[in-house]
Amino acid sequence: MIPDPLFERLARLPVADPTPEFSAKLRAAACARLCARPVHPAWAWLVATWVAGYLGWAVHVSSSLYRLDPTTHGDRERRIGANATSGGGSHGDSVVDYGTP
Amino acid sequence: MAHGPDEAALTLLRRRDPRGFDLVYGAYAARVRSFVLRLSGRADVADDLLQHTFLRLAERGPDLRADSDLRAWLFTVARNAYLGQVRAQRVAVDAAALESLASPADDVEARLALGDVEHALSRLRLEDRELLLLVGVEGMEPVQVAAMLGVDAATVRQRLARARSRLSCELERRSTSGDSPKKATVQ
Repeated sequence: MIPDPLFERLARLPVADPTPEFSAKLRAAACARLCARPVHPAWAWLVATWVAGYLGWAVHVSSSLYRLDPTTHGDRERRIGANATSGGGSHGDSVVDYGTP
Repeated sequence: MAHGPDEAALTLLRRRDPRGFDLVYGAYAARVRSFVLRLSGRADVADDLLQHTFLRLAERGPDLRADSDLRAWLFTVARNAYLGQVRAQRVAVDAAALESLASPADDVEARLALGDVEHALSRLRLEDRELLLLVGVEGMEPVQVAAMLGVDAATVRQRLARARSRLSCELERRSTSGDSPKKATVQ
């Protein structure tokens, strides 16, 4: 490359050092970011599995609240039937059916 | 391409070793700061951009390829951050602050000459200034600068020739008129 006097003048321009305090702060901040290791994939899988399991359990429990149990259902019908034959359930052991949700 | 010290620094950075960061910081912090200071003309903006650049290095350093050109990477990050700031708000250039950069030269004449160059640089358009800084001050090859700016090398050479002649005109004008440093605005 042919030496260019203008570029030579540019190359002689001084550099502007940052202050030592600034450098110390920046190095500390950078070190914190650099040394913070990313989460291992196994942990991510573990957390995801736990969340999926918990959601599955929650769905199971909440759906069981609304599920019709055949034994309970039959029993209720029997009780209603007995109530009807005993004369209309005016007093005593009448079963009041508020309906199932 | 990474050369000797850069390669060692990259190897350490990829292992998340802070010594790698220290190596890069020691080698390039002052140069990156000078570059952004001459682009922006403001010390506070230069410090912000320097911080942004090196924090980005701390985040992305471990993912850089072993043969990455660290110098080009750092200057690209700094330049893009500065352009982002310029788009967000116009930044006033303090030409007097730039001239004070030229203080390390011993004799007064040389100091004044460097001050002239700083001032003439500050009056150029941003595109011209960044080219002259990257090639003239940093000593980068036009091919490297072309890769940084996303244009081809022939375009860089053309633009560089134009920027050089504008700087030359500016210096001439300054020497004939005895122009004093004033506040200019980045275009």
